[in-house]
Amino acid sequence: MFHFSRRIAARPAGILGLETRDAAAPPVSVMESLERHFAEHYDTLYRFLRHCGAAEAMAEDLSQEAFLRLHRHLAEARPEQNIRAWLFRVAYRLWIDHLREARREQPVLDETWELWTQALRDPSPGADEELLARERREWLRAALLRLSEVERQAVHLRADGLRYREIAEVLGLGYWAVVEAVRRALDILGDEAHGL
Amino acid sequence: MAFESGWTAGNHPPPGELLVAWENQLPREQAAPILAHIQQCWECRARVERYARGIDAYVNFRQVYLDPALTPRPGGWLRLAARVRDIPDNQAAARRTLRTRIPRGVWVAVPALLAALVVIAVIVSPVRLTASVVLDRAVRAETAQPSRPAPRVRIRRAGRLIAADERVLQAAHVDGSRPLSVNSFRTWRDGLRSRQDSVTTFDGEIRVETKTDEGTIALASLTVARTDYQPHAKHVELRDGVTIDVESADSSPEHETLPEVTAQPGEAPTPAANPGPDAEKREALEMEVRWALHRIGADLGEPVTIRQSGESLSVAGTLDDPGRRDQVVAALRGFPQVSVQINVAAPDAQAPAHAEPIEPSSGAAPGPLLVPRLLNDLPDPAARAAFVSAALRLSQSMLRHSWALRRLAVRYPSPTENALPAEVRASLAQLVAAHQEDLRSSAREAASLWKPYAQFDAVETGARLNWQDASRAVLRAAQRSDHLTVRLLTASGNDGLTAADALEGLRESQRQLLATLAGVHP
Repeated sequence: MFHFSRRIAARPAGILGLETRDAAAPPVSVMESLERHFAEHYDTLYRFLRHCGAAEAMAEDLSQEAFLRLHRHLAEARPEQNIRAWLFRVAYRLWIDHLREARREQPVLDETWELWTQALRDPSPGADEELLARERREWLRAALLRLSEVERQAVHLRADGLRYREIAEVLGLGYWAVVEAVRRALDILGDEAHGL
Repeated sequence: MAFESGWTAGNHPPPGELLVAWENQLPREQAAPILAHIQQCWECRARVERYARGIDAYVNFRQVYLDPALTPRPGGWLRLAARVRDIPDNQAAARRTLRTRIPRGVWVAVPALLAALVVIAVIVSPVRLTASVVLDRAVRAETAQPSRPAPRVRIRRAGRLIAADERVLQAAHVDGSRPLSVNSFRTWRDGLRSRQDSVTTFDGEIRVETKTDEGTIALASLTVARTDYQPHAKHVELRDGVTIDVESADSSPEHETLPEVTAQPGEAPTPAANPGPDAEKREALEMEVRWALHRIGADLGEPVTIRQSGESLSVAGTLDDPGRRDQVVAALRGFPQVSVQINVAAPDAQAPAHAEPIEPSSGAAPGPLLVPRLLNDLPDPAARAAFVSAALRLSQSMLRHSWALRRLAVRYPSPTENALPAEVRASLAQLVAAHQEDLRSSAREAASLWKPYAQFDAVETGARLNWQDASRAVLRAAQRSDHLTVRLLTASGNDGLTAADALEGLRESQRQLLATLAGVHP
């Protein structure tokens, strides 16, 4: 269903596919529908995979593969409901498959570590500001690295606006397991943030 | 997880429940006592504040440090589109993917199991009901009883009854003298190089359905009686949207007035013909309903749909606000013949759907493009807020009206519009004109507002288009314009846009929008 919010309005392709179909109206083509979903979800999907630890090329490959599967899904006229959660679920399974093939599941992946190190290397102007910013970043990095992989993924998806139930579907976990993961993550981050 | 009805001081809800209640993801009756408890329990309130700090810290860190490093390289859609084009056959691709995903053992086990099932099926059911078997029997039955009452033929385009046309029947391989002929169906089916058959048995009938990518027919089905294999119905779908339904006279009650056969030699198939009197009334009623919704602004993007289903007209939708629901229902109260089903979205039992992406309380992320200039030009925060609000409101208005126009264009393509009764057509023209005028008015107001930052040129008349074709270009221009407005004023992003580029894009999209509108046929 379509709600005209600023969030949707800000997305150029977020309108066409939102036309609820009349029985007599010509259907939106598969490519139009795919393009709409791509415009809405590609960046967040890519970021999620990067956040899971996928390198740039792998994140792009897996995101594109997820959208190719969506194309097939749409071409077969399957239900087009909650595509966002569907895409995340497919992408996450592709990522897990990739990990299994590579046989290198680790608690904190090298790419994730590199990513954060790279993010934290960003220089800031001004000595005082730089010191404060660096201190804050160091603290955040330390706090984030204390989270388990599931906690990081759950909190990432929650920040993307997924409901707990959807996150549970994406990660293949129980509802309350996800709630607990997010709660633990927020407890850790909130505790550390105190006084900053 | 069990929920207690009341939480008192010293008796705290589990932290997980506290979180989901605070995040408005619990049903109201479960969340209410927890939220009330938070009000009176400092310990739980402190815990919730800790969650808030955690969210704030995480979202800020992500926006400032992580997301900028996680932007996909541009051109993603082009690469995907190229990959989609490279897929020779979606089904083949699906098979390939399945092959790679399913472990090898399963590939061995599944065919073995299927083979066993086939053997069992053959033993249990000595004659397998395939499409060929059904058609052979039906041909024999038809030959044995050649004279039957003349069947009823209905031809529809986009759901509307249109006049019968020999050319359409010919394209559909429907023999005009014997429309229900099994033989013609079988001849067509046998002539296909690739086809997909399915046989369905239901309520004393057997239906053979054949889909194909060849020729003018996309799908055709034949329904025969299970007892004597006499043909009851035939359904053909052509690729251009025309459907032909043939029903034996004894199986279909007289529902619709059939248009006369008006085929003229050498004339192209009629895209749409005059609807019958009932259809005319329905069209008129639908148009009045559209106007009623328009008067309360309920045709501008809210999830309210109007459907014609057979003889009836229904308005359905799900709104967030009970007040708005009442307003829509009240607007339609004058149409007792219209079925109205407007629901109010309610949280479901497991997890209510009111989650929103989390926003940071203080944004250190790269700001909207025009903010530095706005800070300089409009030092008064109230003036800045007024400018931003006005720009967003106008942009949204343009987007909504262009969306409404597009919806009308999809509902009433030119052939459908031409087939409308004159009064309904005039009413539609007025509705279209009303949206166009609102669109122009918002665009003019936006031009005036943006004058300090972008000079909108005098509008030239664009290519001459009918309003249906123009609606697509108008919607695209409004979308582009809205995207840039939001990017300039409220949204951060790592798209490489500069303020000058965005303003130029805004100017261009506004020009396109107005030029397209100016070129619309009256």
